Amino acid sequence: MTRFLNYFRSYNGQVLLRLFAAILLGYVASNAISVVFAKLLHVAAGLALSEAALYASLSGFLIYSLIILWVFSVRSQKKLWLQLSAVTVVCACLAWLL
Amino acid sequence: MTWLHTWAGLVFCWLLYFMFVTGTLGYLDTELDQWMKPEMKPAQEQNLGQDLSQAVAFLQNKAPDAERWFISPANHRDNPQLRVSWHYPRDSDKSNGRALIDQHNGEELEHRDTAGGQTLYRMHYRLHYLPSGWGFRLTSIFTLAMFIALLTGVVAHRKLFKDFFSFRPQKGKAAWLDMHNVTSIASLPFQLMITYSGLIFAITTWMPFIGVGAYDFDVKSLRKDLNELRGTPRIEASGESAELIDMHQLANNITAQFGSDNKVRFIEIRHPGDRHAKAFVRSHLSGPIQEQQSLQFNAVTAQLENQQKESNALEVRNTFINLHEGLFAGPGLRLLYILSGLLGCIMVATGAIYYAQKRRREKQAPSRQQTLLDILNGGTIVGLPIAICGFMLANRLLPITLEDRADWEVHCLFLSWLATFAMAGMYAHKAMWHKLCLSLAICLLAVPLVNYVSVERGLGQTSLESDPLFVISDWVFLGLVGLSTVVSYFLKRKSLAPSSANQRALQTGQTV
Amino acid sequence: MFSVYAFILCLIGFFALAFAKTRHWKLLFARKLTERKKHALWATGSGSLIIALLFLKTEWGWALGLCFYAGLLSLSMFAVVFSLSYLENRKPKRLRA
Repeated sequence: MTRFLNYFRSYNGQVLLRLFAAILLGYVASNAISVVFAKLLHVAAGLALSEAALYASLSGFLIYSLIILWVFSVRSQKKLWLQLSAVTVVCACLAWLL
Repeated sequence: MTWLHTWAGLVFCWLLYFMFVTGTLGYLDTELDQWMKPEMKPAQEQNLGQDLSQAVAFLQNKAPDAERWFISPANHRDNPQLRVSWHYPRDSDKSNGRALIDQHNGEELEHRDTAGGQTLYRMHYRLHYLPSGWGFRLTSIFTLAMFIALLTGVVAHRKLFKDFFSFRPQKGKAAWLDMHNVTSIASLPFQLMITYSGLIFAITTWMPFIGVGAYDFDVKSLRKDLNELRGTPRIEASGESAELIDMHQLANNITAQFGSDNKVRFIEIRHPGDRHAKAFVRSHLSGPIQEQQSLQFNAVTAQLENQQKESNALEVRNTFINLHEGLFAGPGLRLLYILSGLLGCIMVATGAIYYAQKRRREKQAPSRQQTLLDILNGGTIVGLPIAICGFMLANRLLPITLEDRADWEVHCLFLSWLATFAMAGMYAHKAMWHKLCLSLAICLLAVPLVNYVSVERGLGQTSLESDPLFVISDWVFLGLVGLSTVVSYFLKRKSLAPSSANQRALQTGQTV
Repeated sequence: MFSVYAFILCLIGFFALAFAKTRHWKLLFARKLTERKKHALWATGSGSLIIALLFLKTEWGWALGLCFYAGLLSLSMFAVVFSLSYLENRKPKRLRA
């Protein structure tokens, strides 16, 4: 077990963790952010729901890529996981409420 | 950022190179199609009504019970021939089909069974030999990697933009980096556009949850809204038969809407022969942004029905897609598209070569990874063009009566690609690059020669006026032969030079 | 035809912008690059790039014109950088310092 955990302290392990954060958590986060964006466009800007959904979908990959860039530019692994999960959870709640 | 740039680029560079090359050739898909069907000459443009009624007569004979007919009149670069296709519902056991129609007698045009430029163009997003859908899923991941490589490249090399014009060429390994920087900065707007619009194609595949989430997981109403936006509502057949309207009358109604005869890109007739039959008309694009693109007619009464709804978001999406496909581009803009695409190919290739060169230590035997990198680089960067020559040669050389001939053309492409990898492995390190370039020159030369012998539409056999496509393509091939011969010559000189210099350095070092 | 003029204008523009840098100026001229010349070159360069865009707009309209512009900018940038590196390599040895 300690050997397993130690792996994530090594360089390769750190890279693997970061890839995991970027690809999977980043994907979930970008979807949540985009949904909130769509709902905001619908509720606050008064666009039709289909239009809002389409605009948000168009920007989805941009948001995803920027998140991936961010994941690889933050120094601390702990900060990165905490912040990204927090953003995801907050956006998911917002999306559910709006 | 540099780390991400290196790895996102390196892991996918060979596949991205494949996508860039086949995608760039995709801007010449129709031209390649025509080259690969040398028996046919481009049709004369005739009036829309005549084209439509010929097509409908053909379809009524061939596939009267199909669910959808598509008719593309011969009025544009994209449709040099009157073209039809017919589609059955998904659960039907009849197979869909397509045909080119001879305008003289309304019968199917005979031509050799060929994969054509369309197959080559489709490879850039579908790859090949993969179950349907998987190729596209993979290429969208590569596209995302490309987009990230572009963004990280911009972020990591901000300085280059500021000092672009104080660029100073460097020697040796750094020259590859120079080339990589120059091509990517020069064509950056195109690269960003082509990659992001490529991602937009993948929204429904990889980002479906945004729309679904925005609709609170109500997929049904999402689908309904999207169909309405796209102007392709679901239409059920009534089951009662009714005669289709006269196509000349439909053509008149279309011309009244579009203002001119030759603007029709294609017409889709849904449920032909049914009382609920509809005709959807799509116009050619005159630019990347176009508002009115489609019309809907009742195909029994010829009445104009509801047109596409106005939607800004859809227009933004369509603008991206149009920019990606470049269907609106005339000859000049098409040339610019191709050159920008080639800059993209060079960008990917030089990046890959620079990575391999940077690791190389002089005076040391290359490691196994280095050899592998070299083989992959050589076999992909020079090997793929050779493979495409093999594809075009196969079109001329395979026997006309061969079964599954179109498939065999593609097999030839991949077999010759495999051969170049074998060759790269054989000559790895020393002579690989110049030998590969020399074989590329030979293959490129073989294409116009074989064309000359086999179909008699080569240089000297036809003239520029009567057969511009074949004459120009021959000159392009000959130009490329010259280019790759020169490159191979310089590479040979270079591959000899440093090693002798090294020896001298070693000798002097030993004597001192 | 305007597109060809626009291409030539883009080439002129990028050459002017490049020669507004001392390093490239020295490739062709022995004299010093004064501040005034620098500003003049810079103005010529950006001016002709803007005129090129206007030419393309009159011939093709904004949507298509911008497509042409992006392509022509890439092409002319590439051409200029390549001729600059050619000049750099041609430079006689005594001038290199």
